[in-house]
Amino acid sequence: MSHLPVMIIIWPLIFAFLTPLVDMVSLRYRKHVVITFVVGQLVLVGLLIFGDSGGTTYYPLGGWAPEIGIVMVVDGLSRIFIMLIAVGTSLAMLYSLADIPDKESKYYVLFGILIAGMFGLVLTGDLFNLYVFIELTSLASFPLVAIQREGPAVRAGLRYMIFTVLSSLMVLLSIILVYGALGTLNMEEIGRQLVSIPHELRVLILALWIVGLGLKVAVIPLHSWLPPAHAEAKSPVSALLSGVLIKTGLYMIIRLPLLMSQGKDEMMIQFILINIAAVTIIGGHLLALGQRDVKRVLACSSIAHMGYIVLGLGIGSLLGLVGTLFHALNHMAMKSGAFFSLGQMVKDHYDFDSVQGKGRGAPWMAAVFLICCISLIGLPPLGGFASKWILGMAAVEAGQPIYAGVIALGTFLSGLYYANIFRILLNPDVSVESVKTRWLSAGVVGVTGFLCVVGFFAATWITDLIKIVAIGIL
Amino acid sequence: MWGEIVDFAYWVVVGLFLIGFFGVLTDTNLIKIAIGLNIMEASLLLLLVRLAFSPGDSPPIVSEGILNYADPVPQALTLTAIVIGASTTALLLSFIIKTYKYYGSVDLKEIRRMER
Repeated sequence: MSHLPVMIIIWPLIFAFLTPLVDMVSLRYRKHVVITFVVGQLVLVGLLIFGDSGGTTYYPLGGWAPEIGIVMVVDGLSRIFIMLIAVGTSLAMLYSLADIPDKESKYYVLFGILIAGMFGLVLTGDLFNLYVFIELTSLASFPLVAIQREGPAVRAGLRYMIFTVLSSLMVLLSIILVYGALGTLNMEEIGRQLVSIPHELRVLILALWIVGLGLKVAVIPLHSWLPPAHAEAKSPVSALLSGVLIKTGLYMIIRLPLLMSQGKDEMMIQFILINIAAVTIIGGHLLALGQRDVKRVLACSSIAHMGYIVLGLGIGSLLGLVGTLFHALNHMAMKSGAFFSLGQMVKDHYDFDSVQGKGRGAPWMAAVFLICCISLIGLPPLGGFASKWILGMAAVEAGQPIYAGVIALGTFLSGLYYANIFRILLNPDVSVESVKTRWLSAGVVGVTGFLCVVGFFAATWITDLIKIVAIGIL
Repeated sequence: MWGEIVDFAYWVVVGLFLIGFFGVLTDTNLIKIAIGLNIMEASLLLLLVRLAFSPGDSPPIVSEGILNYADPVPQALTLTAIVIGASTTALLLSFIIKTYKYYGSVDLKEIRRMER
């Protein structure tokens, strides 16, 4: 039995608690430690994802049987999310080397704990363990929002925290109710037995689960914490929160209700999800249109993109689920890329007046930013187009073309505000001095741009892989 | 007798949860919001402990002649949840302290007025 599933969680923890010790010796080794960690993480994840035939693997912690102990499950869905988390966090980690001053050991500690929490969250097969990991990721992410910032960022972090704690409490309540009804915390067992719960209780559990996680993935009307939190943080943190962290909420939404829903309940959940998603798409884009700060625009666009992602779940067909997972992967690449490249062009103050013409100071970064934004808008030949196209096709195929119309309208709205940002960033009337980019950050930004392109040209290959997973879920 | 007291526990849970929730939603004082979140948390812990126990159960320690044990799992979960709740509260309070140092107030209304 290989110990890979638990190694993946332990590795970031080792990194997190080793960093301050190494810093006590000398700050010069920071780069080596971080690069070693990233390489090690990618190797471990690669071995886990591609190392076996691709079936479902169980890893009972401490050798206890699944009924009494905690089991970790590696199946198709968790493989996809592990890949998303590993790529997203590795890029953000490398980028931080240049963006976060060396003396901030705290930052790397929190970052490591956050990574461990997210891996644990997608690997665990135990419902209460899931709650523990949710809290672990949340607790690590609050200080990250406010790190190296003051005033408004602390307030944004506080607001983010209050909303997230509220959502965790709802999730905890629904977990307690499940345990009270079934007497087990094993997620597979729960999936099998949920039908036996009385209808009223099941609706309550589902409602709490969806509202709690809706707060986490920031669907409208539960979104108000997201724009300040994602906009006030430092660039790598914004990329991490927008690109990776909110996707873990999506993982949990896919994991539980779709397993347990049967017949009438399923129709009701899908009806609710698809309409919330449509409101979120339009509302998110309208919010973004009203912002006067580039980072806030990107944060609001994250809300809209979570809308697209939830829309695929609401459609409920195989194609919809494929679109959802594909768009989650794409959104990770393009939103991280947008925050990374923006962070290279503009160091501080992201409101429209301060960023005038800044794009001309770092033309290569502006080019990647352009690629990411076009991908975010959803125009060919970039990844965002491919996944939006699949979502649209899924809506038409399911006999609900109106939602394909919503996607098209969203594309139009986002085109408007991204065009505006570009007009401002490339404003020729303002003189700017050129900005030097460190090779490591430039490399990270380049990789995200490359991933956006890959998302389009390898779309068939990727969707075929995702389809195999999706068949297993439905 | 036991049944009545135990069922009363559910109403206490619902009551505490709603009191906490109401506080979080309506109050503008950050400290009071933190207290509200704690009350909600406490109600959930109470629910967990209540689930573990039915009248006549003995503590979950294996010994001869005892057949009905209280379920030990929720009690372990309660301990975990208490630890998580304590650390969340600590972090929340430290954020409130930082906010107070910057704005000189813990009232959200006043902070909002200051930002304008």
